[in-house]
Amino acid sequence: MQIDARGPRFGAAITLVVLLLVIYFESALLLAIQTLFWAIGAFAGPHKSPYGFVFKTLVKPRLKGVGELENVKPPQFAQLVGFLFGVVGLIGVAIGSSTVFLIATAFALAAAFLNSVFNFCLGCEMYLLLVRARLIR
Amino acid sequence: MNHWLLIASVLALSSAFGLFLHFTRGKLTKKYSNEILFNQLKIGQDLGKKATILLFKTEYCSTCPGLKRQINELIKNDKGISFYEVDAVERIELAKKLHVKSSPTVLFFNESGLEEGRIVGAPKKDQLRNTLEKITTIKMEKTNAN
Repeated sequence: MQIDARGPRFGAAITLVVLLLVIYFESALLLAIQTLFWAIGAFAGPHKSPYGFVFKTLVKPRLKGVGELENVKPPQFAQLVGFLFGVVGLIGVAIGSSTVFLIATAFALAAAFLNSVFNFCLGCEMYLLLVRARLIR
Repeated sequence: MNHWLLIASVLALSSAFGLFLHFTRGKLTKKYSNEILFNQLKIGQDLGKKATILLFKTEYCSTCPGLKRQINELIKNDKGISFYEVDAVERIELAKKLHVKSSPTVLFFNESGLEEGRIVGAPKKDQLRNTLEKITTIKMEKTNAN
């Protein structure tokens, strides 16, 4: 399946703002909501997530030009990576460790920043390294 | 923990890393080895008469399809340049042998099958064209000198 490549970058920009708020307010609730959005993006597709819906209905009609289409799998994998960071952060909340919570969120913040500003998918890049290290197949 | 310090640190480090990537990726880098020959890689394809391009991709590489189209567009009128793509995960041992650590990675082999250089990350179209011209010109210059 092909999706508008601008959609995931829009989602990454919104995620960036959300994660800044998560860290600043140390908000477990906000992280839980963001993790839910990542889960939707990872398992149903980024175009099915709330950010994808906002992009499709409110942002895309106002953009000029036609966006390049891309395979849904790379941004979907990026959502999965975000989801995993979110889960680790929430585990930190569950065990009472604000350090785990903040560090996991910080990693997700870095990934969202690189994606939205530099169009660099950290998870996609790490995929091959993880396969080489036999940590995933 | 000072949250502003954490946010600033993350953004500063990410910016530095992003800028590093911006200035280093997508550009031709020197070959990794003088010893690996294309024909030894068991890809099952023939060398191009002028050059051979080998693209390592993965399923999760968002820039690989566009890069493939760019390369095909650039070489469509030059029968002397062959282009092949390899899934780095399916051929993980090959990726390790050629020290391919991310996708896309494009390797350029000369007419003898030796690596001339590689590009890690998606190059801009003019960078790709310049690299192809440089790779296919190298032999011509040596021939003229002889």
